[in-house]
Amino acid sequence: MTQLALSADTRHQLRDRLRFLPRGGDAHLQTLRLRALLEELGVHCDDSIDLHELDAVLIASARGTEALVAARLGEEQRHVAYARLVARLLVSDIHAPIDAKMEFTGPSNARTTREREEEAIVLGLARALVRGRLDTAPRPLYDDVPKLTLAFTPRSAARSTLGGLHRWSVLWYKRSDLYRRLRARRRVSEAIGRICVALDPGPPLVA
Amino acid sequence: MQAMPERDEVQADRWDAIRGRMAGRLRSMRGSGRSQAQLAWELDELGFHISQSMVSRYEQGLGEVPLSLERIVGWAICCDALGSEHLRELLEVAGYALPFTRGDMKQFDDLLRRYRALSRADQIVLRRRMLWHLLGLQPRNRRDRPQ
Repeated sequence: MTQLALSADTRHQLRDRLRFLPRGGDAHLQTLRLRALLEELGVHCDDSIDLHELDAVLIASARGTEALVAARLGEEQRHVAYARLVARLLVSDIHAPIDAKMEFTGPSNARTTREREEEAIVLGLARALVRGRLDTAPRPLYDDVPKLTLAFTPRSAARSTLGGLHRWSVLWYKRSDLYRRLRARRRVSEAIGRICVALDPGPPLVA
Repeated sequence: MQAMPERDEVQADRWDAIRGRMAGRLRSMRGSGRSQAQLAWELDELGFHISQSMVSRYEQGLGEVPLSLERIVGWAICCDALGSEHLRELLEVAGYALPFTRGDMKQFDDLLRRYRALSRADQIVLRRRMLWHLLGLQPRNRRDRPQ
């Protein structure tokens, strides 16, 4: 089967760059940052498209990857659309030889449980991106985290426990509205940050 | 010494030789659920200037201008028939090839069927993009096109 132009490495780079993306500024500036980020990773962006029903669409094939955003959107809506496209790139499986991920203003056309869960994660991560608070979404979505393993030393057991907690967090983040709302609270994300430091004091915590 | 025929003459002769074989496959690709008028309208929206009478002539093997790769693929996109045997045969008869497997083309069709749930305007945008992804062409906006 024909391979996509978008590689796993590109997505990994996107995660790395996203964590250090400058914050602040108005919606226009933040949109420009997200757009520049995508362009630098080889995603062709066009926000002058005459889309009526869709807000944005991500198309990926062996020929390249492009992000199309509706020209009718205002600044705030455009910012959200770009955030959703970035979140989509991070979270969704993109299938060769061609795939298109469509972003709607209203309810999406997700039909299966899997699609609905993916949609929930994308929306949650996009919301965190728009707020400039990535830490209000589960860390495995945008960072490398310890894995859940069979570990016996005190240090590796703590990291493995943390890996388990991260898995649990992602699982509930995609399944539960209540958990997504809780996870988006500053106090909850700060408490989770402290747990992460306690269990794995080694790497610097990304806020 | 016998003179080499003009390039256009060769092309015209070649088209005369294959257009009858292509006609039936073009008809089959459109199927019974899509009218010639609808196909012509969709092809026009995709950027090809093909009228209903031209669709009819091609389907009878009477089309005078050879069908280019772009037009054949555009025809298949409008008929959701990228993965069909008819397109494979058409490309073979016309001597064209696309760098995609049959399984790939079926996935393109699946995507086209998903597009059908969208508004007409959005469908057209996405189909034009799909044409670019299939052929490596950059679609131009209508307002950019020379009149």
